Amino acid sequence: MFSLALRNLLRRPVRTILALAGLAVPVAVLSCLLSFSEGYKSSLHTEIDRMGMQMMLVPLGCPYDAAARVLKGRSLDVTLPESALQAARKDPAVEIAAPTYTAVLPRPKEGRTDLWVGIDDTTRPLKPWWKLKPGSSWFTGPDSAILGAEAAAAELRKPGDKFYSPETGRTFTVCGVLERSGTSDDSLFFVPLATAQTMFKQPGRLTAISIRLKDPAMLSDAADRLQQIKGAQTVTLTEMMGTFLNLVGAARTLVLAISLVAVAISALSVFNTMMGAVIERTRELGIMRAIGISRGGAFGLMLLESLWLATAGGLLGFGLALLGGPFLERAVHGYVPLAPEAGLPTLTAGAFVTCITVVLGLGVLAGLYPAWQASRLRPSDALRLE
Amino acid sequence: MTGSLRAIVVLAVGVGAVVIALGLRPRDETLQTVQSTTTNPEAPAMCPWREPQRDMQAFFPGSDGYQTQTVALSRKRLQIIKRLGPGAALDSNALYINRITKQGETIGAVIVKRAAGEFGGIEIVLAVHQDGHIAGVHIQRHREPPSVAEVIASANWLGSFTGKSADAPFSIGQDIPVVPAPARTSASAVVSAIKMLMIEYDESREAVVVPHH
Repeated sequence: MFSLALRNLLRRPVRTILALAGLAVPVAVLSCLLSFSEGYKSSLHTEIDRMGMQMMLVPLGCPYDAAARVLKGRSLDVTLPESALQAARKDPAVEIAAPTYTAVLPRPKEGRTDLWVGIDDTTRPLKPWWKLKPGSSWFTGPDSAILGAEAAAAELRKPGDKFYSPETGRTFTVCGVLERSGTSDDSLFFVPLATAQTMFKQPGRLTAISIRLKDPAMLSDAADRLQQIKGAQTVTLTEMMGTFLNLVGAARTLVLAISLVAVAISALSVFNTMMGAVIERTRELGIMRAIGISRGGAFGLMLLESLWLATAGGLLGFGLALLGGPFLERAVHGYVPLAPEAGLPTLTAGAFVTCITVVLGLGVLAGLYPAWQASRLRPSDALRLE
Repeated sequence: MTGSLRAIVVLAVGVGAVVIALGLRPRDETLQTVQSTTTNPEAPAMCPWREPQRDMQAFFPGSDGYQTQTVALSRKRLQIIKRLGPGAALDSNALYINRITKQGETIGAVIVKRAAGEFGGIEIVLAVHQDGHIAGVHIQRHREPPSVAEVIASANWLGSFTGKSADAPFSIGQDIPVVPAPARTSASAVVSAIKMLMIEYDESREAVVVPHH
C-alpha cells in the first residue's frame, strides 16, 4: 500500500513537486521562526546564567538601559557612591558584590572609542569564562592593565609591553591578555578600580555593582532591601531577560501567526492535489473496488498519499531551513535587541518535532475529504465513466 | 515497488536523515571562542585602510578609485626573509594591496600595516608608485605619547621615506634621519614595517593573486 501510494504521487511529478514546494516554504519559515525563538531564549538564559550573578545595582534612571549598557561595556552618564558597595556587602543574602567603573573615551580624530573598565578581585568569580593567555597575570600594581583579546590584537600588545592612554596621559604595563571569549570583554581595557577612578577623576564613584547571592531563591527579598540603598536601583537579570523576551515576543507572535496561515494555505494545495487525484483516477479506483478493495482500503490509500505528500513537504521545508537558516540568522541578528553574542541557533529538535507534527496533522486533515470521496465511489458508477 | 524506485526512496530517506541529524546535533553549551581566519593563531588581524579618500588625494592627486587585491606570499617566503635579513619573520602569508586607479589605469598602490610601537599599535599607510618607489607614508593611528608622536608622525621624518625603493637600506642613522632616544623604539618599528612592506610588495609582482569572491 505504501509503495502504491508513493507510485501514484510520482505519476504526476510536476503536480507533486508544486504541491511539495507550496508546503516546504512555509514549513521552512515556521522552522526558522520556532528555532530562533527557542534559540534566543536559550542563549539569553545561558548568557545570563554564565554571568554568575543574579542582579546589578546601577545608578537611578532607566534600570534596563543602565544594566544593558553596563553588560555591553558602555558607560553611564551618572554614577553610584562607593557607600552603595559597602551597604550591598553588608546584606546577609549577598555573597559577592563586585564594583566596576566604566569610562568611554571617544577618539573622533582616529574614528575609535576606547573603553576602560576599573575592576577589583571580586570581579573574577563572576567571569568564569575569563582565561589569561600564557605569560599573563592579574594586576601587578596601579599602573598595570589587562587587555581583552581583540584590544590586545589591535594594539599588538603582549604581557610586559607598555600601553599609553593619550587622553589621560597615563602609561600602563600590560600584565595580562585575556583569551578570546566572544563577549564584549574582548575589546575592553581593564585596570584596577582605584586607577580608573583616578584616571577619570571620579574618586569614590562606581558605575555598577554586580551581585551574586548566596542562594538565588533569596533574589526577591534581597532586591527589595538593596533597592533602598540611596542613589541606586536594582535590576535583576531575570527581569531583564523577561523584558528582552517581551520585546521579541510581540514580533514573534505576529510572524508566527503569518507562518501558520501560510502553512494552512499550503495544506489547501495538498487538498487540491488529492482531490485532483481522486477525480482523475475515478475509473481506476472503480476497478480497484470492483476487484475487491474495501472502502477502508480506498480511504487508506488516498490518506496515505496525502501523508506522503505532507511528510515529504515537511522534510523538504526543514532541509530548506537547514540550508537557509544561517544566512537568515546573520541577517536578523543585528536587528534583535541585545542579541546574545553566541548567536541564534538555526534549528532545534523541538522546532523539528513541532513542524513535523503540524505538517502531518494538516496532511491528515487535507486528505480526509478526498479519501472519503474515494471510499464512497461505487464501482458501477466509476466504471461507467468514459 | 520496483527495485530502482525502492533504492531511490531509501537513498532519499537516508540522505534526509543524515542532513537532519547534522542539523539537530547538540551544540556545545560552553562559550565558543571566535575562530581565527588565519592558520597562524598568533597572526595579527588585517589592518583596515581608514581614510582612503584623504590618502588617495594626498599621494595620488586626481586618482578616482581603488581596487583591493589579496596576494598570497607563501611561495615567496624564503626570498622575503632573505631580503629582510637575519632574525626576520613574516607575520602573514597574504598582502592586501589597494591598486589606485585614474581613468581606469593603475597609477600606484597603497598598503596598510600595523606595527608594534613602544606604547601601542601604529597603523602605517604606505603609498607606492607604479615604478616601485615610495610616494609617501602616513600614520593613520597610533597611541604614542607626545614626545614620540611628534617625531614618528612628523611630515619631515615621514618625508624621508619618499622616493625610496625596496632595495634601500631603511636604516635609522643611514638613510633615515636619527630620532631622539625616547622615540627610538617606535621609530625602529615603523622603519622595519615599511621595509617589510616594500620587500613584500616588490616580491608580490610575481606572486599569486587570490581572487576576491
